[in-house]
Amino acid sequence: MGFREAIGISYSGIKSSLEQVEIASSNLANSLSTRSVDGGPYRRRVAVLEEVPLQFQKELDKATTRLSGGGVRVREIQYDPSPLQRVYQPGHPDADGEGFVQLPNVRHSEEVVNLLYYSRLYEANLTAYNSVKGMVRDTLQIQ
Amino acid sequence: MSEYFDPVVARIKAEMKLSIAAQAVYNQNIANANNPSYVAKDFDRILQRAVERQKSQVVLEDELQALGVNAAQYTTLTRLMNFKMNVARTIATQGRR
Repeated sequence: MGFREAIGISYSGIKSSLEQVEIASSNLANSLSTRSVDGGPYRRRVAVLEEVPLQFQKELDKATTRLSGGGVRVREIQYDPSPLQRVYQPGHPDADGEGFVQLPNVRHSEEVVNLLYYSRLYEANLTAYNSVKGMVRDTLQIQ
Repeated sequence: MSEYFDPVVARIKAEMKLSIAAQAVYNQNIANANNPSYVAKDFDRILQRAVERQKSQVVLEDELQALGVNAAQYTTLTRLMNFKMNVARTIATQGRR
């Protein structure tokens, strides 16, 4: 009928907000990492979201439409291009000749606020999911 | 089947289908709330498809409110359907009295 699509859309929202929480956690955890696999300090990661279009197909012989697709997905994870922090720490092994260390471009306050926002998004998607679940239950109660 | 003897049942059924489609559109808006390239949509019950909104920003509270109203409407529709079913059952079983 369309319940499957509606549930699937909310599920994709739940999944993508979880992925964003993972990325924000990784940013927070690596906020002082001066060495990364790509060389140089860790760079802040940002998820790029992409809409999966929701399609309505008109059925020729009936007056109804059929749903397909819908939802959201993390298309790719990009590096935040903003400049790295330069902090004076002469004792640090990765300090340059003048005693400055390049630290990741992660701001704690920003990541924590993002984390809160993602958990609200997660809850909103869960509410939508439960709402559809309630509709399915209502349907089953028709007798 | 039952809609042949009662046009109201057919109407309720059609409205239920539209409610589910509208629900999918609201879910889509909520799922894409954090996607800057997404344009918020509404479900057009006459055209039976999603239409892009003038105000393209997704406001989470508005979506949740619309979602709640839609779900309540759906519950009402199922209650109505139950009522019609009861009427049909009464006719089928008590008709002789």
